[in-house]
Amino acid sequence: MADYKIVFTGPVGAGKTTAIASLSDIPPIGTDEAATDMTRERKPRTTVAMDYGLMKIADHERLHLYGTPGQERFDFMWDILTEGGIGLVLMLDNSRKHPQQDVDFFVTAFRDYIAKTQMVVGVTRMDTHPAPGVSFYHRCLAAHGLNPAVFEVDARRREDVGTLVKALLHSLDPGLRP
Amino acid sequence: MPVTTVSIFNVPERTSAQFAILFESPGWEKVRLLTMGKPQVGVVDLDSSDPDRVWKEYRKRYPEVPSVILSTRPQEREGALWLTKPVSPAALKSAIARARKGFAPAPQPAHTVVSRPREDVATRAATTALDAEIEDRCCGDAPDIDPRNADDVARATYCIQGHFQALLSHCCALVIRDGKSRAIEGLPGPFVVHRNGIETTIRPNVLRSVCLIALREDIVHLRELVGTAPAPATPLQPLAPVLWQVALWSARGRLSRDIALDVPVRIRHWPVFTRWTETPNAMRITALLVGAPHTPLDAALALGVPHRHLFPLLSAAQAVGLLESLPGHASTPRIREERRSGGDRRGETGAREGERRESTDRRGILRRILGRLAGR
Repeated sequence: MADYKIVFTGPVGAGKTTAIASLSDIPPIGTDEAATDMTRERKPRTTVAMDYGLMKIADHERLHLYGTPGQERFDFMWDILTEGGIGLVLMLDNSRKHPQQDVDFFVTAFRDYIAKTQMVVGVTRMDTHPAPGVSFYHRCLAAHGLNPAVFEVDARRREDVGTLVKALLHSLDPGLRP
Repeated sequence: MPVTTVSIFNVPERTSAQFAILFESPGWEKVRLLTMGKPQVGVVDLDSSDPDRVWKEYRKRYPEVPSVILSTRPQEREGALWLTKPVSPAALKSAIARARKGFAPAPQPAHTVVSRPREDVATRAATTALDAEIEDRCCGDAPDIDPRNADDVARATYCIQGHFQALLSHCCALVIRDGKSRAIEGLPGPFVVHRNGIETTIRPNVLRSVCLIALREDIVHLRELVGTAPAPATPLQPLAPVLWQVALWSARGRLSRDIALDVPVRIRHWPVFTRWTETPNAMRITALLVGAPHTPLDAALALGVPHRHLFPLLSAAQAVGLLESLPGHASTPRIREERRSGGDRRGETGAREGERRESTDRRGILRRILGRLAGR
């Protein structure tokens, strides 16, 4: 059995759990628990360990979808999660107060992984919070020397999350033919 | 259940500290990290260049201690159970409890649930039909051009002046500049450009027809809306996706004459393909041209895409300000180098051969994931 994985990360409530559920062939395995700190304001239940979903690619190939915990105090899991991954999906919530800080935090935290692979960015809640726009995130990412795909997404829509992952695959290999 | 003492073996100091934090978290009251003495359960990381040696050292230090092995690869060791990385805290907690009880059978782990791909047949059919329609309406069916043939070039390029695309671009620029809404009058329905979006009831297929004909200035013109514009009667459509779509319809497989065939171009950022129309091969073309400038002809050659797929995408990217021409810049034959692997490989070194095979394997798995996302 050959196993591959994509890691979803981002702040609390950005839609990582939902995005994984949108793509997964199995009911996603979450480890949400009642939030016990400031995260409660944003999400009554938050992912304290990680989320897990699975896509069967072929008879002997599986794509694992891992979501990192949104709470920064669990960042020790991230090194383990990213090992052997093929790319990173950064989910951002456009309704948060300091989106640039979110970008800076996660891009810095996953700097080594991004350097080895590729990343794409999905921005949620743009329907209810249109500002800042996608160009804002491009500027934030450019400050880190990055120019990934940044898409408005609704994490509940499989087409949106699928398009985001497709962009990740083509970023990894533009020569990739459908 | 009483507290279980656990020792961690063969992990970096930072990771060890992180385990300590984890074990002090809520829900881990029954587990205590032991740094000295004999633990009740040992946790050992066997991902190293010599796992047998690590295991030997571990067993020398902790003989007969029930153990949990963390590894990305299968590990069968006596008196131990294996957890594949990455390991969730929940899985670790469960494994420690099982080890403490002498490896009583555990409930079936959730991640061994048999995977069944979704049957997306209906979605697939709809998507395929939609893709065909997009290709027909945005790309047409013209063959590739010979750039030395003037007739070919004339056939495959177009001038936006006198067409709806030019009028809409001009209107958007004015509205963005002074914030005053403007109506485009003389169309088969209302069309008002506001700073925060476009208000129209014109149906897409009608608007597409408008894009394909030359407009008469005495019939179609702009009118500035004086005073406060009334509240939009229909939901506003964002400017960029509409402009993008209008440019694709206008191009219909052709290249704007403002883009030279032999000058390298770069796409500044990815178009928002979750909200903007994604034409055939759009992602491949974007990934290439975001990464490195190519002339349009080189890009088509490098990716092996038809000109009718490439040209409208470049035209639309230019319409929304995402295309940058770089005269004098060298075109980067990024993919052609990879494509060479299918040709003459005489003299290829072993290392190069290995890289090529790895690249091919990787492309294979990425392609299969892509196919799976497309519902194939």
